Amino acid sequence: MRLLIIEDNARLATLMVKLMADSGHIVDAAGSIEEARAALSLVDYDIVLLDLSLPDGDGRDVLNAIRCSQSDAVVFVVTARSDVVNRVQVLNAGADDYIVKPFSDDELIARVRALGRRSRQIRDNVLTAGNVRLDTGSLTLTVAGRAVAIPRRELSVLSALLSQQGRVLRREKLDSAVYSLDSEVTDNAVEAAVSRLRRRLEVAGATVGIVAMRGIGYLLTERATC
Amino acid sequence: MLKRTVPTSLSRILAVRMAAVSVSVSLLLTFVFFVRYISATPQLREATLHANALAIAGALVKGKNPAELPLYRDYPQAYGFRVFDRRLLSRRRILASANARWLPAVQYAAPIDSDHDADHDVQAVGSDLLEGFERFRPAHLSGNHVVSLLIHRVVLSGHKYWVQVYMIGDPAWAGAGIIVGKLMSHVLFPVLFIVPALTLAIFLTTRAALRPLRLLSRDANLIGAAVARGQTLMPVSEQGMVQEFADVAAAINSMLEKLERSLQQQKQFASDAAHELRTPLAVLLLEASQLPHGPARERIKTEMEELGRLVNELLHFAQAEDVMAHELDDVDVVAAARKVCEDAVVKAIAHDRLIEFDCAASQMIIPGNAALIEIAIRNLVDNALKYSHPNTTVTVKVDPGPTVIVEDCGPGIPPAQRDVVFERFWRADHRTGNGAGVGLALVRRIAQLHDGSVHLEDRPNGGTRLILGLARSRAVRNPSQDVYVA
Repeated sequence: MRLLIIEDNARLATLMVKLMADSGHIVDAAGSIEEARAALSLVDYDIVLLDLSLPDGDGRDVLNAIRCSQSDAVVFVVTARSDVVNRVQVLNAGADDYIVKPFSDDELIARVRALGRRSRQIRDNVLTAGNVRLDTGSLTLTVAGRAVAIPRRELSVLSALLSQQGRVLRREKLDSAVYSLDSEVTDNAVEAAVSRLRRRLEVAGATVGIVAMRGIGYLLTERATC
Repeated sequence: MLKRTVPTSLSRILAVRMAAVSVSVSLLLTFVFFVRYISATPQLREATLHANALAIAGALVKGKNPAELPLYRDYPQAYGFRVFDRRLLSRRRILASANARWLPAVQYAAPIDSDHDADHDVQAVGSDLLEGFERFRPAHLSGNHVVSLLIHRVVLSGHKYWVQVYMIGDPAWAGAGIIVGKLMSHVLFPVLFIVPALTLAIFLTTRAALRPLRLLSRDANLIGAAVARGQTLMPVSEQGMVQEFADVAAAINSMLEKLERSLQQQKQFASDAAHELRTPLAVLLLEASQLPHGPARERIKTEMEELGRLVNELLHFAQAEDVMAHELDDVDVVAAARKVCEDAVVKAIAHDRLIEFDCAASQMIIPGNAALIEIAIRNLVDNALKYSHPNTTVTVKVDPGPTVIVEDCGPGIPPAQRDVVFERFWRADHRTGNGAGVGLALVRRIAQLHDGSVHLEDRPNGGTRLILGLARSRAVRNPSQDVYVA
């Protein structure tokens, strides 16, 4: 994954570059809006980590420039400025995600990985989590490299869960994903499908599990702990 | 606890004092009046005889015998009278008389009474009657007795009477009635009218005069409310004030302006400090991740994360009032609580806990700020996740009110500590170094800014239940989308 880190604090920039490079990304750094523009005009980045307060202006200008250009780079805002209302403004302005300083290395790595996966999955039509891989083009599921047969209703449940990784999938969304396939589903059809899918993944030896949170929704977890 | 007494209004104090002074003055007047009349015997006697003459004529008009009046019947030694029909000696006749021995004798054809005393030397006997009052001391009467005599023409209901009345001393206290009557007409009646009128006038005048002060106090109350709700301090009104109050209002306004500026500076400082701390904290946290793996590295990271959280909460605390003053909107409490639950799920799973969301309504709208309400609920949920035991469930419930209830299966909080948990920098256990910080204090502040409150109670089957009540919602929508008022 090609990353651009726009951060004016030199020490923080160095640490972030090292952290991202260590987790397997190719990373460039820019310390100002000017440098960022230059870098963006030369390279087509997958993810841009953007600090909002920069010495020569507001980071939101960079965000606007990226959104106006042909680039489909994912913009991840990294800022010290978390006013109570700022988060909504920045997300509305077109940022894909938002993290407030200070953050731990694990959190940054996880968030960047999730963003990268999202952008790659949109491109490749392949959804992955742990050792589970779902090709949404050919509608095939492989667990640990072995193909697993899966009925359509469970496949749509898994597809919905995989595309919502790291976040909760609302019950309503899962319902609509299932209902669109089959108009004869009953109220507990979704729950039945989820529980069959859970068993199927378990039997196939998947490293992911499905956690149900009553009243909230479902979540795909790397290690089924609950 | 200090007992607060309700202060009395100035208008009332003035009116009461005015009434008291009036009553004292009228009592003094009464006393002076009384003394003056008692000491001025001739005038009192004349007035008494005058009244007696009228009473006698009144009895005659009614066809009664005035001699039967108690005064003449019971005190024959002291009071007496004689009534003639005409003035002229030659033509007059006695209509009635009693105890008339102190009256000058008259010669006429047929005297009715037998009381007449031929030896009488008081007045020229056998003259025409002349109206008038006199006092004399008869030589043969022992002691200091003085006879008071009045001749008075009374016209009553078309009858004309010439009344001669006398009295020697006043053993029956007939003069007391006169004094009382005079008191009534000269002192009591005026006082009765003047005092209430004056009191009312003073009350109304002071009220009118103090109106600007009342306006000031109303504005001052608004300032109190504005401070509590985190709104901007509005200047008090200087319009329509008399000079003295306008000066006070201007002084208050200049003070308010300074206060507002200083509040702004304080908030700005907290906000700037929090922002400035964040980048170095981020550097430190990433530097820590470069350390070799081990318990020391994990401890440092945990502490740094805790520090970052504290900085965030302080920033939110500093900003809450400003946000509330400038970013008011309709907030769906159900959506806010649901969003917080969804965001907390990953963290909950990472810490081996479950979250449950329970709400019958699909929407509860209140005026407020969504970001603040989410922060409040998030703090409650984070707190519950932190203190509950592993493999238990944290339940978030939204009831009409709207009330957000967060329950955990943790160790619970002893009753004695239930109020202090909402204070800044309170920690469940000082030794662990992990605690509430300003999290729950921030929840309370946000609740207050939304005209609500937060409190804590035991969960029925063990654990803690935190209840966040927010301002009364305007409308609640249940799943069937029927709108009803909460």
